[in-house]
Amino acid sequence: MEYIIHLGILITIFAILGVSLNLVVGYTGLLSVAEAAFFGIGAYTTAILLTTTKIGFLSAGLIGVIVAAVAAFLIGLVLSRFRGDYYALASLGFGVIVFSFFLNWQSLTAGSLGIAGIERPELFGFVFSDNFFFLILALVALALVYGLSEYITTSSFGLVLKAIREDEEAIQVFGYHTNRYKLTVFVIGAGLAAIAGALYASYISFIGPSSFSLMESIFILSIVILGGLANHRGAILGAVLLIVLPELLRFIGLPTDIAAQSRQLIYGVLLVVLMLYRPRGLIGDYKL
Amino acid sequence: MNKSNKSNKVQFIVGVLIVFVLLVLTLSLRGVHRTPPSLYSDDTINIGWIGPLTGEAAVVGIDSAKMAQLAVDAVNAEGGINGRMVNLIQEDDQYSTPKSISAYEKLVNINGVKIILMQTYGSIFALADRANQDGVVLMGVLDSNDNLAQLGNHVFSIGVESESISRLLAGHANDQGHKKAGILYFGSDTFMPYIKDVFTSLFDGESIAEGYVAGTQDFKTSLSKMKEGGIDVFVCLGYDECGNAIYQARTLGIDAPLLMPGTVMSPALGELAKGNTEGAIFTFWLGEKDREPTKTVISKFEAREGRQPFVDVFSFSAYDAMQVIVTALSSPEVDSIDSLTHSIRSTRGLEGITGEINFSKDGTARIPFRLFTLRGQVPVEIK
Repeated sequence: MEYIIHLGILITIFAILGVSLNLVVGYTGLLSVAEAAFFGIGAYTTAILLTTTKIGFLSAGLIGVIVAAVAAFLIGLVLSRFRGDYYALASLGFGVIVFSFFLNWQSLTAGSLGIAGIERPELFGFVFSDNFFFLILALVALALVYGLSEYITTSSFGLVLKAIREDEEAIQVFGYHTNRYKLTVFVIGAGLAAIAGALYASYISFIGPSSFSLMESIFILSIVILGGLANHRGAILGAVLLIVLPELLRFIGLPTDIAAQSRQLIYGVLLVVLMLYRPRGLIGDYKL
Repeated sequence: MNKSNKSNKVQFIVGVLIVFVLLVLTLSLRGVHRTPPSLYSDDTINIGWIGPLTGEAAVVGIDSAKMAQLAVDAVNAEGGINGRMVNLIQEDDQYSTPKSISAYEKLVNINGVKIILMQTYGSIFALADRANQDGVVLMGVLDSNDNLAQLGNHVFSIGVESESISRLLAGHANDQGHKKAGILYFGSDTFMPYIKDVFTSLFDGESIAEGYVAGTQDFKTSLSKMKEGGIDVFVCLGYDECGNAIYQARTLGIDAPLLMPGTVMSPALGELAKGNTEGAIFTFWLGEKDREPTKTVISKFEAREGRQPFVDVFSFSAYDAMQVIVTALSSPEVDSIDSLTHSIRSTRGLEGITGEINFSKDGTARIPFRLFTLRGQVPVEIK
């Protein structure tokens, strides 16, 4: 049961990341590959505060969200001027810069050694040391993120985001300052990703730079694309699939010598087949 | 609600249900059981191995797993431990911490494993608290150092002393009077940056350090910066991709002497470097290959795999870790995790294939590196 609960926690954390990235990529059509940077900012801020101060998890997590949102606002001022491939390249650059900070700012992040001994959340005197209760906490966070994202995308603000995605120039003709909308959704997405970061740091208890590299951003993007763009449930389904599938393959009785390599091969083939038959993702409403 | 929304919702719920049902069914078919209270099941001792079997760092994992299996097979051929067969369960983590934790949870909670060999360095830190709480013995088999020594009663390490890599390389660079080092290092794990940090702190001259992430193939930008900086020694702290970096460095006209860890011995790295590793100075552990136990194990490995181990030190320590565990489990006094940890900590003078194995009270058994140079692709020790 502990194993399934562990997978449930990972799925929930990555579902939060998927839902937050979906706001930017799926609903607004901005191909961002900087998600791991905000995920990392949330994780590092929480970890640093929990290990060096007496501040509680909730406050540390909230500060993480604010730091990620401020970072997103600053970089977003530049990013909002771009669209398409250029947006992706600029966000990639930001991701690399943040990764370098994590790796090289020794005095703050402990560099390559990472930060160990991060405590589990404590809320109103209750310590979430049991994985089952941590899963419930993570599910509550996912429900809040899901609810907020649903509210945003069904509001008039969300309609403008979709219009930007479909034809940015057309909506500018109607007097909308699209850069502001792009910046706002980018900041919201970053803040939500930081929530996942706070949960991740506290759950894993150790963070290092390698958990927030470009490969992690691509993995989160895969969750969104595979699950289905512009559909919050798609992002959750994508997280379920991409976390559970490789774990299921552990149980296939392949010969030891080729098991690991074969699993990678099967995993890759399954993803290719899925995208061939469901080019919009499993339940997507939009195609990049 | 329109038709398409409704259908999406149904597909979503059905999708999530199918995946969970599949997982639960698979677990049921494989026989989910709670972790047994003792070290053993009735007739089998399950031991886990977690490390990279695929991905960029697979070179440090594949032979380690094979060597651990070889040790297990040798024990089983002799009738097992007190009549119980040993079963080694290998789990790939691609050198990623979350995947290591998934593998750990699976081994401990599905397979009932109480002893795990751990090849992924950073994950030991993430798993130490869990292992101490779960009463699981976690033994790192890649490195052994001061940081690992502080992780609690259930965490052990047997392997080369990480700091000795930097100490030897920096010492050599200082002895040769080098003044400016260009350091290219793999930044996607915690090990190589640590080696870089210790090197820069011990090197008397200036350093130009450039990190790169997993999957990098083009190093020309970093190398050009080093060339312009006038480096007089080139240090590549990485895995097979260093072969590309070395070749590109020489193509760009960087002819500074090359310093590296033992990964320079990887055949894949050698191929990528196209002969440019000749004369490289590197830290290595050659193994005590003239000793009978080591020769026997290597010949068994060759018979099974048709080749020698790629990097001795990463695989030999896994074999010895298994020997330490088997020796401890064979003792009639060991009947619980506490007595097992006490027995491992008390290991002294055990003849292993890395030499004589001695555990310190801090739970580490450290093997010092030595300095070598490559001549005709053969390591020659620098005295």
